[in-house]
Amino acid sequence: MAAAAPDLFRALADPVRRRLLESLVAAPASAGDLSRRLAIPRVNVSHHLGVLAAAGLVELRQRQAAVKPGALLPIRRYFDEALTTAAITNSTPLRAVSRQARL
Amino acid sequence: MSDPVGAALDALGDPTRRELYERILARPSRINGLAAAVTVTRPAVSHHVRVLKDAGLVREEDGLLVATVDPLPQLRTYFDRLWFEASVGEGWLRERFAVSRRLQAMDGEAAAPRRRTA
Repeated sequence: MAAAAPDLFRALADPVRRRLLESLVAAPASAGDLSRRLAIPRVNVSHHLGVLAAAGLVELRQRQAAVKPGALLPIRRYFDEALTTAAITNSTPLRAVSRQARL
Repeated sequence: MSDPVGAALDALGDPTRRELYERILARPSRINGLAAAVTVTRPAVSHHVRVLKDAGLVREEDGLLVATVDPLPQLRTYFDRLWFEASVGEGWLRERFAVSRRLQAMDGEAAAPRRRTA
């Protein structure tokens, strides 16, 4: 498996942070914009933006938050490899081998 | 599950759960085998496996835990879309469709005289 930073997964494991990210990919926005657009208290928006920034997913500059596209690639690759691996381990002959070996 | 992507991402936020998922992914396993391989207790492993099952990432067949293929294409597409929109975004899409409209228009102009001469 590709090593994706643990912080990345932790940052993405929250529905509010995912909504912020989904909103920010369209265009950079300030915490105030996001608070109004998503109807989330501004203090929560700031907190979640901080978590996204610490994970390297978002860049905060001049009170504007912007997504760093490159930071999304490791996690995209993680699920790409997971899909390949799952497809292989789900193939019948291998499963039969695992079952025989009582793994 | 109404939001398979959200459910999977919520489940994978925990590093121990992610380690267990990656072990199951690499090789279909039994609870006992997993418990022997990691430092957490067997009840903790059972709990994490339950969360992975509820999230649709893992299923059990004859006591063997297997990674489910199903949510993975959606997860990959989710991050493809985020990446795409963040890096090239709507501007690229608008340009792409403008090009295809221009090509269609050129096709139309090219086809029209042929129809007249036929």
